Amino acid sequence: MVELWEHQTAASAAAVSSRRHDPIRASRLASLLLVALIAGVGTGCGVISEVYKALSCITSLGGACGDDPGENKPAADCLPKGPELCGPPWDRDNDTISTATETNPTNRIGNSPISGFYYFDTLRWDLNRSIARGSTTSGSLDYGMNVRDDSTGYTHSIYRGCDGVDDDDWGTGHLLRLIEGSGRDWAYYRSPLTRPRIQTGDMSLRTGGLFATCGDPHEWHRNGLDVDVRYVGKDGYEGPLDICLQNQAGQYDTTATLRLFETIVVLNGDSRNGKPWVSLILADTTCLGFVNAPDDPYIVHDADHRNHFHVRIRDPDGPNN
Amino acid sequence: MDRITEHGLWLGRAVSCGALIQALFGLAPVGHTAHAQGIDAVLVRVEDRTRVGIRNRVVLQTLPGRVDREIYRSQGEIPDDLAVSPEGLYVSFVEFLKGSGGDWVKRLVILDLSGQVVRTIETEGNRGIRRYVWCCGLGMLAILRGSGREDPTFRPETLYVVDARTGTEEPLLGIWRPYQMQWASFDSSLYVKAIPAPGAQGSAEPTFPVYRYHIPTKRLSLTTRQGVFFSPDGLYYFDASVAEPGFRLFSSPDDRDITSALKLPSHQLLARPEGDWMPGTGHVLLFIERQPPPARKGPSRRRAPVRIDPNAPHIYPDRWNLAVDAETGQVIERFQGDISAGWKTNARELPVERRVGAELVRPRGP
Repeated sequence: MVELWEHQTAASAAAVSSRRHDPIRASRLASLLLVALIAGVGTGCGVISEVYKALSCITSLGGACGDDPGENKPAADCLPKGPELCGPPWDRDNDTISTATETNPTNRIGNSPISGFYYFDTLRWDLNRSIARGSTTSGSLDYGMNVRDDSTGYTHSIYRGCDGVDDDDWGTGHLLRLIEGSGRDWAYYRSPLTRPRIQTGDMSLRTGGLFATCGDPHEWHRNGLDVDVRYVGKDGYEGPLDICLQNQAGQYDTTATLRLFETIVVLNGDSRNGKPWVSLILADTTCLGFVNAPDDPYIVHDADHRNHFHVRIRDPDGPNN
Repeated sequence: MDRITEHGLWLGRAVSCGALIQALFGLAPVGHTAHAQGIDAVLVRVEDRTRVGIRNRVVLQTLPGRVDREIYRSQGEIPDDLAVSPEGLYVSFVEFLKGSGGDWVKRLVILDLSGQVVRTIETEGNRGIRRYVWCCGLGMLAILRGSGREDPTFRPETLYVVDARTGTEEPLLGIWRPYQMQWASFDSSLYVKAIPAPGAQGSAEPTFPVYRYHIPTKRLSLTTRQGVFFSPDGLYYFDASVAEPGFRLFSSPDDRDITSALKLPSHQLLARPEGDWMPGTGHVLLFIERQPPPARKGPSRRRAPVRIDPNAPHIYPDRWNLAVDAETGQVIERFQGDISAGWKTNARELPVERRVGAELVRPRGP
């Protein structure tokens, strides 16, 4: 039922979009595509099928992104068109939900052992239905998405603690966008020999709520807006790092960590083009080695953040819902 | 309050300005007269509290006299602040030592004021010392052990009441996953906040149970409290998490949330009261004053952080603090000095770091 609703909505959105912007072109393309499809499928020509997919993508996504009536999708939730036919390479259908997330089996309804909340289609718009409910300390997550354990520029699989696979890494679509976008930018910047991947830790549970598995409980991390990240070690080191222990501080790469903050906040957390807004980062500033720029004080001191920092984004669907 | 205009004057006359500020704000230097139970008042701290060099020494400063005396030097590190027992006889801290395999081993060290090691308390199997609090009587502590968040194996936490003089450890049983604890001397009880039972995992509105362990009767009971950090007079308490900012204030008689009654801007309430309850008063909360974030005018470019001199000390003697009466919610005092510079004392005053050095102050009460 959910699948049907999703596809109908996406299809109707595409139809509305194409009619509004260029109905003649759309109808011609549709005819052309129909012929090509029949020919391609009939002859088993994979190339033609791919062309069909690409042209279909242009047809359905050529219009403004997400602001047509009935789409139920805020305009700010869209990214600009990428260099490829539809979206950027990591998001072919340009629906702001990455292909990696869309193909992550854990996000699929009925998947086993952990099932998600979506029937994603990598060549159609899918709606980001994730909603952060409640507040920082009393909330839950509706229709959360599960981030890939390892993808471009980041890893979660080495920073799970006692949590099971895919138990602790759910978030809103915006939080996943932040992690994946930061990972891509970080991968571009880092040298594999000297810079480790971004090591992401706890996010939220599958449906949010109290997160009290290992160690101290999280009083935040309840509604898909929070993610813990390890500080950056030198020489490609990936693992636990306490920046306030002097013997370990020699392993702490202050410059690279500053660059990571920049990657997360400046490049991916400024709320423009559908990105999230990073509202704060909790870190032990007595050992961090850098401070806020005066007019953008998102780093907040917390003495219990010596072996990781905590990134929180503003609730993308607004507070108190 | 426009007293901040005195700030520059204080900066310019470092030697005498401490006294001037005290005169202006009614913050009498009381350290040399404040003794706890006939014991000389002392200040203790971990060097290097400025976090420029390695933190591996404990120094003690006797009042009056004000000469630092090293009483302990660690072979490892002491990254966190230390604590002084309520009666003022012992100093405690968690020490990190390099283990034989290159890993870090944590242990709790208890000294007397001469620097003699009274006892060291180790981890329990794979449960490290997570936190501790002086409580329950002369030389007694409550110690919470547990696995860390990065530990691949989950082990429920344990809570013991330990006699530092004899080493006797008495388990406090009947609490599923103790999380925070605080000694309430007005009630002769140890209050323990616990993690909700496993069934509450994922719950949007979980209740963290709070237990009372009454020392005279050794009776453990479940309470209706919502936090454990009681004011010295017991009329109020607050709740705050370990790793995330924010707090809630409650009145003890009816456990009512009265956070909104505090006359503080919302950005100030983002953090817990860094100075906790003001010692020597009934119910005064201490906050470090925060500047409001600049107004945001639509989407704008974010700013990268700024590198700082790694040799710059992390001491802020010019910082302003707010003393807030929990009863009226009013800011009753605004005073200067670093209240989080690591100083601890056995006196019932507040140690602050100022440009003239460490001082003990007592803001005007409500």
